[in-house]
Amino acid sequence: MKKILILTTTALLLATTIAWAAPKIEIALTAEVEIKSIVDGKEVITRVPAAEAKPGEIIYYTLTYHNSGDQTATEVKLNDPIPKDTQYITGSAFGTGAKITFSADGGETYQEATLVTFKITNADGTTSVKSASPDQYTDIRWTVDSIAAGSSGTVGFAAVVR
Amino acid sequence: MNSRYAQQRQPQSYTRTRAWLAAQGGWLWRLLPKPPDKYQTFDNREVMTITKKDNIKRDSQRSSIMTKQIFKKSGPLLGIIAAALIWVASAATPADALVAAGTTISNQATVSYLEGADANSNIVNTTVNLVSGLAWDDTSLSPTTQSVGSNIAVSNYTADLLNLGNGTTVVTISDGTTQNVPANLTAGAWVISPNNPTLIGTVSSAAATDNGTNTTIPVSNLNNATIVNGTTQVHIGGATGTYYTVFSSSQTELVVVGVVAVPTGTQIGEVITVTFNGDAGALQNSSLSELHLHAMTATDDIGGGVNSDGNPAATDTISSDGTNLWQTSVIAGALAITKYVRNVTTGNAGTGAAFAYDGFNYYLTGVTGNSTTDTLEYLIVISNAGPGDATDVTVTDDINPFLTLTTTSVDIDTNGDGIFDRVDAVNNDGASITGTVLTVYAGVGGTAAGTTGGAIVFDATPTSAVRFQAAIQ
Repeated sequence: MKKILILTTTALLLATTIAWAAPKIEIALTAEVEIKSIVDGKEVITRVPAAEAKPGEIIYYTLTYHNSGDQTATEVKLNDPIPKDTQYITGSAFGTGAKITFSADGGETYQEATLVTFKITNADGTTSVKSASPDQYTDIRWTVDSIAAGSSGTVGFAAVVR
Repeated sequence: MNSRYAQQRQPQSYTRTRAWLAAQGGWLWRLLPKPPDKYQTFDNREVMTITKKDNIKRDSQRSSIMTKQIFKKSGPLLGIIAAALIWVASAATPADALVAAGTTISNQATVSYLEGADANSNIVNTTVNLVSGLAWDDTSLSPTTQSVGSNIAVSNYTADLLNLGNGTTVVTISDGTTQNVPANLTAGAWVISPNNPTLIGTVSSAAATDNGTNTTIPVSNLNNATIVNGTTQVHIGGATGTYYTVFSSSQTELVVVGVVAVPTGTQIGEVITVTFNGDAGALQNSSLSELHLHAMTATDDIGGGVNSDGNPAATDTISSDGTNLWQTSVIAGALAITKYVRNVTTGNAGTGAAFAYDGFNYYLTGVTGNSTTDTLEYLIVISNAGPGDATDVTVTDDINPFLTLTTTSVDIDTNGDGIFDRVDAVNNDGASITGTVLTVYAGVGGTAAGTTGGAIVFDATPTSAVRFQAAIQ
């Protein structure tokens, strides 16, 4: 009985130690729109949470990542689908230190911009590979080689409401 | 998996979407920022420049020439990229419509890394707001012009108003009529009907199906409270001229009478025929012809002016703009009166040329008569030089004291056709005598009992005549 207790305690301690001694990436997403207002006769643009947006308006998505663990995380892939009913704005993706790639096939494959392709099935059953334009992108991936414990960063993109 | 996405996201070009919206009229397309003149890689390195003004055409030959030129100048890699970009620019592109108001745009990111489990971000939701897209079909205005008399009722003008927005909206229609010379024409009184209509609007969420009689269009968030089945008319994709009657509806489905192809993402909105009529207003300062220049402006409840996000107001105006003439001409008649005479007893000629009317010759001057024996017949000819018609026309003549009017001899040719159709007007509600003054209610429809003269239309020929006989005392 005592043996079992000691074993259990040891196992719990070990588990806790292992869990604690690991990277933990937490991500938070925000959507914002720009609002123009006149302050002291000057036009001021501020960003507010995009609870609502009109067709034609641009939604700015910002993804914040944070490594709350105590070890460096490696080969971090941050994936964000471009929401349905929106269209990616060419050149809007940003992310310091991140390699940005795009998918035009729902996240199956990712390529650097201008090399993105997608497959279509032709009437005769054959498939063709087509080059995708930025408005056809379905997903964005930011690849970060390593994120040190306790560090954080932001990536993001903008999409226009169709 | 690949083909699913390929079907969902067909080739389309931002530029063409924008151009398509612009072609629909209105201002919605302005919401989409101007496409860049230069394509750039995502590290802002310029790879090639295609000037948008060149209006790249869907011409494979031209594309290949352009590609070759770029190959020559920039080497094979840039040539491949250029070929891809040119293909994109020339791809067949189905038009993209707006997203329906009330749609939720949802986004959630994921993260994966070598040392830990995948994690999801929070979900951010954005609700798509209503944007209005009110548009008059300028070519539907009917008639475009009317011509009426002073203070006369103006018949119905009608024009079609379309909702090209992404949701149901309430519209205020206001009158913007002005006069060409305000001092010469009062404002008139105009009635617009309906005045505060609710126009439904939506976007198809999937391709429509039909049963050979009716077409069922899947929609989302349709505010259909004001739809009257069998009456409400809708446009499909902003096309004017052909409209479809709603058979039935729910928040997720719109069924229209008839068979029509409706692809996913097609804007559908209500079309109403707006009626404009009223009173022409009064001519002033002896003016005989003035114009009302009509205009109607439709504004929806999103508000006027510039919205907080800088979007233009949701308005559209139909008016006289040079190409779509819409005006009411208010015109009056200019009457002229000439009096002739003949000697009924002797028939002797006067001086100058004779004026023949109803088989007799009348003269302006030179007719003589003998006291107590002769009877003279006077002919009063009324003409209207226009441009408008004359109403309530009365002719008065103070009979010379040396003459005795034969009261039963007063005849009226009401419409100037040379036939005196109203004989013995004094005893037939066409004339009255007060003392020595004879009052004739000339023209068509005059009435002595009502003391209202008749109408004399604008006509080059004599338009009415009165004759009466009087004995020389």
